[in-house]
Amino acid sequence: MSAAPASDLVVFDEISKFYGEVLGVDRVTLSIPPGITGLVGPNGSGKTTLMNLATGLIRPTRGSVTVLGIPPSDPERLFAAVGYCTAFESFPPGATGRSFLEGVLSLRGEGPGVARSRAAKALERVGLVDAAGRKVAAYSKGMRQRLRLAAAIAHDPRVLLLDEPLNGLDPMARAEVLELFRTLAAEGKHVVVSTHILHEVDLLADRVVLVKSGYVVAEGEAHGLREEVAERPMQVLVRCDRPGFLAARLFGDGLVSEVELHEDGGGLLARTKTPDRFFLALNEAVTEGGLEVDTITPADDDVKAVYRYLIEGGDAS
Amino acid sequence: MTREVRLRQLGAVFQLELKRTFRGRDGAGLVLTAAVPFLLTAIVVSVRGETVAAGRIEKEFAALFQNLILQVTLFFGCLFAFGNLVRGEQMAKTLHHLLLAPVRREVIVLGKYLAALAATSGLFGGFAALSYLVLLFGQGRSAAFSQLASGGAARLLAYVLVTTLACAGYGALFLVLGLWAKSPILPALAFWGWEHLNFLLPEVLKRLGLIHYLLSLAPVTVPEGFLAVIGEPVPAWAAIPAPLLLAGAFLAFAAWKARRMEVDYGVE
Repeated sequence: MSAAPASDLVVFDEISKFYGEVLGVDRVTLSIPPGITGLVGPNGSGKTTLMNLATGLIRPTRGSVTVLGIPPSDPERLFAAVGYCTAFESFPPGATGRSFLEGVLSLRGEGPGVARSRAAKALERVGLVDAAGRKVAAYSKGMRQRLRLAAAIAHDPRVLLLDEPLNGLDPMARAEVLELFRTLAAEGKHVVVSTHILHEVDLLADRVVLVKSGYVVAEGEAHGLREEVAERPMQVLVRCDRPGFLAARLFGDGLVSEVELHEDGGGLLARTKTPDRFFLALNEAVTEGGLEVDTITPADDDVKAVYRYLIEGGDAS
Repeated sequence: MTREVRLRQLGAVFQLELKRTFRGRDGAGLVLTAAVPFLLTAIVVSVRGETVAAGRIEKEFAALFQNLILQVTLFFGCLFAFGNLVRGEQMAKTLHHLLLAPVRREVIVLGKYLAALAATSGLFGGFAALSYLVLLFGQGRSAAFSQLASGGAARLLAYVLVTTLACAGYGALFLVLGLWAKSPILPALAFWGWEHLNFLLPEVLKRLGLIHYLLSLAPVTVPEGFLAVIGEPVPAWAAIPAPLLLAGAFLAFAAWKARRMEVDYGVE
């Protein structure tokens, strides 16, 4: 994939991981250069397994992995260079956003003053300054996601591994986070993003690696995906306090072809062919209508299109 | 990475773990467990109106220390505190926060162990000392001060030392059990039985129980019943390092296990 030296690559070499008899990933060989790489695949395909292997949270059954030439068995060097935003939901009980981040930074050996200022900077970058003093237990899903992101970037790593980083983010936060990823990639960092959402690949990645059932089935440049994505309708799940109002607004703007209100009255599933305009309108509806939004999640799981594009050279539709 | 940074990391792990130990219902449960002997002693002293001979007080406390503190509250308190050091974080799905920091896993294990040791030896040693003082001061201030001056203070320190050594030894064992066993309670109960029946064992086997070394250091001996096999107490020069050596060996094993440990809260 790249002629860059191993000291500038994330390298998986014939790596396999089995959970007992269950396959995690098998014989994955992959070199990831700087820039934004989308790790795409349906739930359970092995994306998280690859990230956990790269960070030593799990050990390979066979094969090896190095990040910038550093093996996971050397956490002191590895995590000086790597930030990992996991999909794990849990935080230490009783922690506030600020105290959690300061704790994470103190583990890095930072003094209290440096930890405080770095935590403040990271909270600002992810837009959590106002909520920093609140208990994490009271955070929405999107806020917890942003806090995990803050923990991953707080030490200014060269490599960022992000497991479904846009899950639960509202439109404004999504836009800010995407911009943050682009900025980090422009600084020469590796940004590896796992996702099962086609639209996110289009928005994010320079390169795409398609993972399915534990195997890397295709990889390639991402630019041609845009046309592929543009032709495909997208489903978005929104959990909010007034879904009826939101549905009326989105229909009124002609941005959705179908809306399904949840029976509990706490959300809706919308289908749109113009995701960019849809998210813009959603953002306006939220800010102007004063909606309380808990979750906004793309609900597609359409990896087949990426596969067709990568395998068939972009001609498929 | 410099030694200074590693020490700061060790301090950070220690502080985070200490906060975790005393947080919430689990923390309250640990404090309450450690306080049980003190509460019982306070009740006994308050309902007992009579003056008791100094010798009897020493024997009463020795029995309390051996039978309740060492073999019940401290044992199970340590099982809870040390057994959950890593296992508790796995169950709460928070372990990855530690393992994603640029910290050697040996440092994480050591920091957690030292925090639990500080918490348990402080709690169990502190409440043991309070229990002893309550018994003494139940006889009046002057009698208590006189008793402390005539060897009571040295005995008090000896009890606190034994408590700390017990926490160090049992704690390291339970840390390993928490890392190694899916359910540490069963092997811990088997070990508790072994320790509890130590007085029945021949001398060679007695030396395979931590309790034998701890009781050898206790300043007052308690009769162990007519079934007991009387053995020679271990001299202090061997009884003091024995729990520490045991703790060191278990800690080395725990560090090895931690290096190979995986975070797996469930397959993706």
